[in-house]
Amino acid sequence: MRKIAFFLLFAVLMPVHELTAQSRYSISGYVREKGSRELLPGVNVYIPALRTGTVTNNYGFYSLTLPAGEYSVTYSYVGYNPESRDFSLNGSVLEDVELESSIMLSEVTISALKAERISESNQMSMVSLPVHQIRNIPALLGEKDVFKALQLMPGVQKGSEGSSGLYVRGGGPDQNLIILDDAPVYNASHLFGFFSVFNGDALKSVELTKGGFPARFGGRLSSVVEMTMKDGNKQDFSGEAGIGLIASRLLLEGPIKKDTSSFLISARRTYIDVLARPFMPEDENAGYYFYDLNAKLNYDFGPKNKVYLSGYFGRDKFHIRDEYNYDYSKGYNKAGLYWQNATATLRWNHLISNRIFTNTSLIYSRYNLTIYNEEKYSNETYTLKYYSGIRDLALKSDLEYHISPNYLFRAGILTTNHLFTPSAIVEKDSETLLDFKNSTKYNSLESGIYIENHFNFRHRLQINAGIRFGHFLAEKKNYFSAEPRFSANYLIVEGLSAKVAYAMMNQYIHLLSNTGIGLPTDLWVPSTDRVKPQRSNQVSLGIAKDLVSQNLTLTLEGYYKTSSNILGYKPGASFLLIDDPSGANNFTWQDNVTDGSGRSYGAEVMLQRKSGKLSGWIGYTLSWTKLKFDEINFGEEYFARHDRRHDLALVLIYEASKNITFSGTWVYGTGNAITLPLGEFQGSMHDPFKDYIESATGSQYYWYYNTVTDYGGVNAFRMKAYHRLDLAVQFHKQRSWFERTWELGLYNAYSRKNPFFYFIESEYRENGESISKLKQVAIFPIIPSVSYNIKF
Amino acid sequence: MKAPYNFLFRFIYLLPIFLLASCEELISDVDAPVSSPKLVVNAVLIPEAPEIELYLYLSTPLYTPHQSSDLNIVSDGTVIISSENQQITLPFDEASQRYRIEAGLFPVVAGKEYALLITTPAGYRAEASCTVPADTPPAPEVTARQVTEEYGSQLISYSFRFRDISGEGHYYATALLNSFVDEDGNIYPAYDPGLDRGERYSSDAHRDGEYFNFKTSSFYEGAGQKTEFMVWIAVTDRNYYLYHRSVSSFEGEDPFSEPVPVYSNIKGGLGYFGAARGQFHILEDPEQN
Repeated sequence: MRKIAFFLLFAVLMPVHELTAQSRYSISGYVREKGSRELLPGVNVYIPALRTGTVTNNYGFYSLTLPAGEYSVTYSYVGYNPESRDFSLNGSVLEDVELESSIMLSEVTISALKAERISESNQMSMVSLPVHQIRNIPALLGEKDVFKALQLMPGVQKGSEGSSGLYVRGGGPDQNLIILDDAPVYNASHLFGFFSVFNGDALKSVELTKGGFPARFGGRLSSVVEMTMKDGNKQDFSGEAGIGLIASRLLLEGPIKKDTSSFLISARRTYIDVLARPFMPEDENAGYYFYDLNAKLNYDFGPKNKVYLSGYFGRDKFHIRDEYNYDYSKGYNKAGLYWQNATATLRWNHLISNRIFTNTSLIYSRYNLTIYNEEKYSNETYTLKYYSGIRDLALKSDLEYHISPNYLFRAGILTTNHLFTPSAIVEKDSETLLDFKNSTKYNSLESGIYIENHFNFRHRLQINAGIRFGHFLAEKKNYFSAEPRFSANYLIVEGLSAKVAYAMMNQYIHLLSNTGIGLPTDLWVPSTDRVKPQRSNQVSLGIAKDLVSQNLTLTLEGYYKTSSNILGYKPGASFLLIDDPSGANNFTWQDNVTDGSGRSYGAEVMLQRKSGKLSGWIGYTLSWTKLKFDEINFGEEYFARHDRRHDLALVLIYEASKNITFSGTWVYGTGNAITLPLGEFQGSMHDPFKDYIESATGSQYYWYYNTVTDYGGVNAFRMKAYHRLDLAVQFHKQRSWFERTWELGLYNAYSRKNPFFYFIESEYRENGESISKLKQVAIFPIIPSVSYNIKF
Repeated sequence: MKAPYNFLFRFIYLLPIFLLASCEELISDVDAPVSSPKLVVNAVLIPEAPEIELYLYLSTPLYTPHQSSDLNIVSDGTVIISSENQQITLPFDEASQRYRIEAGLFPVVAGKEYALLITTPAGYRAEASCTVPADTPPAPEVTARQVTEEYGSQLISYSFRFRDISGEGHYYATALLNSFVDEDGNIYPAYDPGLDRGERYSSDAHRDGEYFNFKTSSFYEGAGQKTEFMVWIAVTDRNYYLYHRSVSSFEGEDPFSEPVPVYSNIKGGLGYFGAARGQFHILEDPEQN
């Protein structure tokens, strides 16, 4: 309690001190990309003479408050040519700046400005993934995937072969807050996790925070993946299109009113079902498809007000329809399952003054899974429909007060109404007059309010100190939390800094995952009076070094994280929760789960070059992740399935010329920890009536027993190590009105048989002996791909 | 400088074709962990029981060649149960295929700790210990008897409950038996009717002092027939509870279920060596009492 009071006092007094200092003027404005006028987040705005500066926020806004005087300000951003402006400051100035992309120039200019140095950034444990780099990284079947690129970062692992799920510093996929334009996305997977739902064409920025969370983030334990969609070109109509092996994409953007308003629409769809349809029998129709649609509109109501409306819609669907004729009567049977996400965000940016920027968002997000079966024969119809999902309606408001170049104050509030439907079943049979409906719904309210203070002391020491207060209400049960957050960066010498961070996080909603591989059957459920919120505490320590002459950055970080009240399925629990839907009344998901604790710790090292002819990174993680549940492994600590002792990724992108780009990745990871059967034995049960039955019947009691499995220990066996080499080459050519790119790729270039899952096969011999053999299934051998992309 | 690029182009286009030709089977063998048979022990000490008995057999390792058989009984073991400065060796009984002695030869006392040691000529060795619960098991209270008419017969079920003994760390086992009683009063044990509500193996974790509620499944009582309904309620030790709970949760066939490691307190083996104190009760219609 004392520590919380100290944070509060500090947060309140500092702005007061700053306000009473000498009169100051502001240089503020927006930084955009030249040409498209796309707002650029994360641009460094630096004053070399004062060795201080700031960074544009997610909406491209910056503000520097300075005493009157002469200043030279530099604006720089990776992949863009820096700009300088000189100011004679005797009044507040609004200065919008446009940066030219260095990719568009005939010669690449590598910037080594101090302002871009990782050693001078306060934020630790944060990865900013340049979207243009994602396009150059080789991908499965040529489908560029944001999450697959994030999995190449140290501290971030994938679950199983092909999975797009993120396991960040030992946390599961449910512990990641995935935000697209402020809206949470609850199931970020297509095709059972092989691809994520995010179309990289439509994205402007991707940032992953895995520790040292600022107070403005809350609601999940392990990471925040914040993605911002592009706004749309405000000058000219442009677009991109691509055809790949499994899907095609189209992006169109352009002005509605030049320099004032623009739109962006981007779509992607698979087409295997369309191509296969002509080859299917007439009375049968089956297929699978997924699609994504991103759309955005924005309007500038002058320099002080901007409004954005963005949305995402995506669906996966498996379906089958079978028609038949029996006894001269016709009928059909159709079945399938589909899952879908929909998000919509309406945002208003408002400048209260040159120093105070606010954003208010109204957010809608929905995810649901539906499984259906309908049979019609003669005049009788039978239908069965199972539905589960989550729907969010939220209001969020954030404020940034740029008090001085050395002090930035942030505050905000977020309140979300969650409607959970873990299961809803409808069953009807016109023949038996069955009409059964049952649904379980939970309504809850989650709120958070935060303050955040960012200080810069004489350029040597940067501190971000804040606190987030959380509240959750469901089933008349209230949960409150106070989450202190702290991070600091100390510049030891030029180009070398030490960092430390601490964060407490609470998570009020939980993902029940039977397998952890992102199946659509995973359920989102709220905290209740029986199921408490999850909590984590994480400490990180690190060193960051800028190797300026080589254009490299080196980071080394260690972390230790403890989690409590994490959920897991009880032993024997199954997604096949009920065999008979009419028995749903007797079941509750809370009976199937148990809670426990976890701890994860490790070290991460990364050497990275973000720009230049040869760019990329090498990242290595050494880590341990352990869990402890009273009801699993009999209360003994055990390794998590995704515990991975060693994880290595090497990513290289080489621009051989203006027209050819080579790229390659090599990854290595220790195998997953699994529970493997070692033997079998007869698990007989004590029957207290044995003697009674024997004396009453006069006959020997016959023992009943289960054949049960000797597993050894939970997750005590290691699957084979995983490693894979991917290669790709891109051929660019500028045509008359478009630029085209052919990409040839090789996934798993040396065809390593990486395990997807293990199974046991029994072999019976003539002499009566039997033996079991452990086998593995690999799903992806070497896979070549080709895709054709245009940009106009 | 077109020529080198032409060569490179052709190579890049042709390379995937050659590599595709190297596609192999996607299912392959994996080195399985070496495992050997383990001793499996089933034994429970009950002060009220007429004898002490122990079942001893071997598990079947999966990844080495083995003969399939229902139960690989170990008959040549030396089974010693000891307590403080007493010990006894259980002989093997061929007729029942188990190790057993009369209870009077080695009394099992509530509250006492017992140790088990098993050795075999083949070199197997297993050890375990357990403590007999000191508490007397609670008596059930019948709260309702439901009768439904169906096809000329009556469907009957009982609801009953018992209260947790106050204090933490109690484990309970509940077993049921239906018996038919003829006109001469002869009792014919029939079957376990099962439970619609309540768990057979339960603990008082987060439920100290609360009632444990049960409802039997319905059973038929034909016209002119009388049914006797017996329930056994026991206070058990943690080993008994964890073993039985894990075996009864085992769902080997369901590919979507979480694996259920079966609990064991046998050092050097599998199975369990546990203890319980139980009492039998006949459930009667509460309205007639």
